[in-house]
Amino acid sequence: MKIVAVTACPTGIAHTYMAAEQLQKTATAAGHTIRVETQGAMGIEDELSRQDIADADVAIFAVDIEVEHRDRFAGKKIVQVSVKEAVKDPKAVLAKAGVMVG
Amino acid sequence: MRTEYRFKCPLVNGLHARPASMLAEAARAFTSAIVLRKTCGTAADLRSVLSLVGLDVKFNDECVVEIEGDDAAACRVALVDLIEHRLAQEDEAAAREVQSAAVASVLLPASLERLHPRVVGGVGVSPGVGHGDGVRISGLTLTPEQVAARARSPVEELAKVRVATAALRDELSRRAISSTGIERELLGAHASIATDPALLGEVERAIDGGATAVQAVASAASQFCGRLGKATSAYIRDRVVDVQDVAMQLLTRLGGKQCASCGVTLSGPSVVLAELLTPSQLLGLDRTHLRGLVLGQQGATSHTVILARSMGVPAIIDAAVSEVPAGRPIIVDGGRGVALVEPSEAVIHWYERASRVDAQRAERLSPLVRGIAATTDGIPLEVGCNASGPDEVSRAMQAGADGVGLLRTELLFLDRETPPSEGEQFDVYAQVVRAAGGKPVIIRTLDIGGDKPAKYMDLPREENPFLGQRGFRLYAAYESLVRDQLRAILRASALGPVKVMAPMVSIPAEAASFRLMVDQAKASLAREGTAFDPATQVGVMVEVPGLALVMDQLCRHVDFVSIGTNDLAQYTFAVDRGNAAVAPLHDVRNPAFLRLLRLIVVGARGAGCWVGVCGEMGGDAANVPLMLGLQVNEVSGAPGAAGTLKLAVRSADGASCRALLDHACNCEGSADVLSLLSSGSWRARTVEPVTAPDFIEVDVDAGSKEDAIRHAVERLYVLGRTDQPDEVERAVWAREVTYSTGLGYGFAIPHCSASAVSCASLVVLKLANPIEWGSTDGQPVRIVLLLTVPASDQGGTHLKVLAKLSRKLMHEDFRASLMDAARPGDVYAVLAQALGL
Repeated sequence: MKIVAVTACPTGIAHTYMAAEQLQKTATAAGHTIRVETQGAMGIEDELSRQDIADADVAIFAVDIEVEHRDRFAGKKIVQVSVKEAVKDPKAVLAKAGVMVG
Repeated sequence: MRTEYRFKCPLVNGLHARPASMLAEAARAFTSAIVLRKTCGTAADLRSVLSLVGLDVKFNDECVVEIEGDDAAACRVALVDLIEHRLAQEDEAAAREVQSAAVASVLLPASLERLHPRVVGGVGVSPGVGHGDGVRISGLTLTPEQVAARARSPVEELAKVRVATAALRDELSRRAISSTGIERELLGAHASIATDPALLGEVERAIDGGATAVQAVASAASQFCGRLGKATSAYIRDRVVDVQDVAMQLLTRLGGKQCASCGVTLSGPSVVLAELLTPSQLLGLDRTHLRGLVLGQQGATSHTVILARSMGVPAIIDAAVSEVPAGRPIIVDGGRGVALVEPSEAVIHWYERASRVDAQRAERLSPLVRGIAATTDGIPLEVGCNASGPDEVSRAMQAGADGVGLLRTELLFLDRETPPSEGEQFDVYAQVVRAAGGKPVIIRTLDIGGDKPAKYMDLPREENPFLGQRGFRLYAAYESLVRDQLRAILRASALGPVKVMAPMVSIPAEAASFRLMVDQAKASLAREGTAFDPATQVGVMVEVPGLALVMDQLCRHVDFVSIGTNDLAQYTFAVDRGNAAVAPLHDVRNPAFLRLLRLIVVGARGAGCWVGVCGEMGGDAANVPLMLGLQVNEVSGAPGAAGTLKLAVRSADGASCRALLDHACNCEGSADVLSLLSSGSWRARTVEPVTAPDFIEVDVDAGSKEDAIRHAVERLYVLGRTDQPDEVERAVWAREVTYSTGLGYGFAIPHCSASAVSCASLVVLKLANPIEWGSTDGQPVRIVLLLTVPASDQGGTHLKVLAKLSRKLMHEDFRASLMDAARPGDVYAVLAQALGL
């Protein structure tokens, strides 16, 4: 699968980056390609381009707050989970994305 | 489309977590981008509860909601409905439900709260912590035998009273001579109450009416107290306790030892419980055993409280004293304003550790509080103390004060028959100068007026004492009294650096005439060949707004000025801050007041004049950025405040403070000024490391999550990264309740973003025994990483380090090397390598 993901937690200090790392690591190990954008206390980093999004099969939002510039994902298949879920069980999150892609 | 909605915050307690989550909830139904902006410019995403709370929106603050997106119109309708009609009501309803549980929890840190101490709340008036058994001291009550007693002849009863009063007066005067400072003043004052003709007149009338000497003294005292207690001035009300005190001592002499309220002896560490404690009751207690005071109706400005503070005895007032049992152990926490009744072992340990932590911090920070503190870009700010006597000055010097910014002399003059002699004053000033150990002492001449009457001055009753004959305005009429004081002050200048300052000066001509008075006093000393420093500087208080407009003229006559912000604000806003109905208008952070201060400082510095700030505003560490922005030379605060003030100075950037002041002067209200201050934009861009080996502790013995968090926060406190550990602990818990920071694998990363933290920091604790943390994998925690970031940090290198750490923690090899690292140095090495420190 080609995956784009956004992670964002309320304080933006820790869980945003833990979730990003978990998704990145787990997806790569399973042979998927993935790009993860973080929306934390430092603002948006590793911002996804229109092309990244267009190319992806599915988008994963691991967020506890609203995703900024959500309109970029209009018409996209989206799996939304809490940050906690992505940190705790990234495999399950990827499985949900797999189901969505079909 | 784009739309907006302006409103004033309808929530009495401000936009706190509960209403913020209602707003965020409502916003989530829409796709538009929604921002809540305060009129001063700071803004937050309406869907982020934490950033909404971080905005610190207060009641009636002006705000605007900016909505941009496809469904902006519908979103606006929903939000207007919520804000205008439901927000305040629903918040109140929810508040009522949790109210009963909230009282104690707002006072105490979570780690103390979880120990379920029995708390009696009050108002802290003398800081510090004391632990001892409760000893109750009650007020004026007669034994049943005394009440039933029949009088002999009026002549005999009257003779008894005369003998008792004469003996008491002699004893008090004798004790006054052999004591010093406030204690001496007080004993003198009591000697004069004991022979007060009005009081004795009441006693005589009662005896003529058939009362015994004992009954007559009790009834006269209670009548007197009743009258004083009705006075509008709190200062006068607080004198009730002095009259009671003298009456009690008379009763002891008249009635021997059967008087129930006298002769309390402390046999071990004790906390005294009293509705009202008289100053001589306090002085009569064995200080080696006295650990603290829990008081009821005692006034905050009463002599008892002033004494307790100068003796360094922790004290709270406004406590429900009857709920505190006597004979049981009690901890008094003067800083937090609570008494803890029958504390458990765990609570006692908590306080013991807090006191060890305080000592560690003081030792570690002592090099930072020595010498004059400067901002990171080199702007110095002297930190003085406000004091009334040598004891307070000694404590302030120990705490790192650079001098005495204001020595008040009124206590020497009040509550006595005759003014203090030049020699008596010299003794006190000399003690103060010696206590200051070579640092400058600004002695303010008598600041007295209709609100603080002195018998021998025979001041007229005035309609408006604060606008009448006060301070300097009385000096012409009391020439010899002023001369004696100036001579005493000048004589003290031979012993160390002294400056002399006049209060309540309204026009430059008064400053010129004060200087003349000082010159005359110098001339008289010179003629006698008495030693003094001829270069003694002369200054005035700036507390009348009119002076601000003529600083150039004023400064021709003085060497320095000191801004008395309390009275200056009172006269600027035409408000008596003792009057609760209008007190909120007395607001030193109001931009009008800041502009006035700027006018004063710019004027004074233009004329080469030294400027100090001796009002409460200068002593509050939260205002340090404003003081640095104004570029005053000195601030002066409470005797113990120097350390905190100096740390604030050292963490600041002078240029940013000046920018902040400009910005603050253009805000529309003090709420915006407060949010500027808490934004932390004034802090220096720090080069302090995020972590270091002494941020890391191993084999930490923590019994619970609360303990571990407290322990880590205390580390920050010892390291000087925060001066408000309770605040940081609260912020960490506010994050912790959203969901546990236990991330599994035996790791927890409690964290917060808080204005009480000076720079981004990482504290690591390796626990001796694993503890439950509510982690996602159900495993107990062995390693705690506390991440704290100042609220103002918006993307510095520190945040990058913390983000990197968070990512690294997802990797098993990194976790394993942290688990394996045995000593702090080893842990640091692992972190340094992985994070590129």
